[in-house]
Amino acid sequence: MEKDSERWFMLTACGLQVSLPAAAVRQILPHTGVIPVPLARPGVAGVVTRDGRAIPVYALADLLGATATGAAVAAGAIVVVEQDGALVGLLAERTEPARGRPPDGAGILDGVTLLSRAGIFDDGFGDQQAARAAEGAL
Amino acid sequence: MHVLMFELAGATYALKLEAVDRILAPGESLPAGCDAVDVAGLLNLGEVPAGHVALLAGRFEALVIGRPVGTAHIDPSWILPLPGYMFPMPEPPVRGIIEIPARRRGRAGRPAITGRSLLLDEELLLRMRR
Repeated sequence: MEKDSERWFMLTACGLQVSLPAAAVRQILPHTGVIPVPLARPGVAGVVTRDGRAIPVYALADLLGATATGAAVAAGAIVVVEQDGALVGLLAERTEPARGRPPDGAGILDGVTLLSRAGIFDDGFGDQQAARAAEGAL
Repeated sequence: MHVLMFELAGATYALKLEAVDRILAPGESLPAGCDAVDVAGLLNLGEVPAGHVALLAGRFEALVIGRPVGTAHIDPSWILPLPGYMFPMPEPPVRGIIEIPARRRGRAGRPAITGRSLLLDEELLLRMRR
């Protein structure tokens, strides 16, 4: 029987691929209705609203540092990730479900790592979690 | 709760109506001793044309707000708070996003209450300037 840990979503942004465990993914939304929010952190594309909640949407390329290279970011889907009750949308150019082992070369990120890069765990908790996660992931 | 909605740099924003005493047209003189704060500048929205000015109730301060589009009565439950972690500062002046439920949209037939808008906190805006 297939385990949840063997199911992934492959996200592509600016030529970089990231694997997210399917268990962390709550929804995949079309890239529409993103409302820009002034004074938000760098990388925040805006917010979407779903089920009475405002969900910040981050450009995955920014979290991966890809936009620093000047690569163009194409519109795609918004992958909603949950970690410790916090929801974050990740704007990716392409999103595909995958099973089994992620392909070689695809970085594996867990929710804590991504949300730490989004600045959610600025109290230090995130940095520790991200460091631990990065040891075994990226 | 009643809100004043206004367009600024292509987006719709709102302020609590009770915080506003009156609106001045662009170019109209401010009362003596009143200080006007440019909302577009505070929010880093770039250069925008001279806008209307909202004189704040009980203060000698005003906000340059762009173009008023109307007022609306909203239920507080329509205000969706924005997560603090999406801002680099502890007290962002954006209170939340006002989302009118689909069944209530367009009832008054005015564009001001048909879409979504960001509710601003006048006190935090002024605090940013200080």
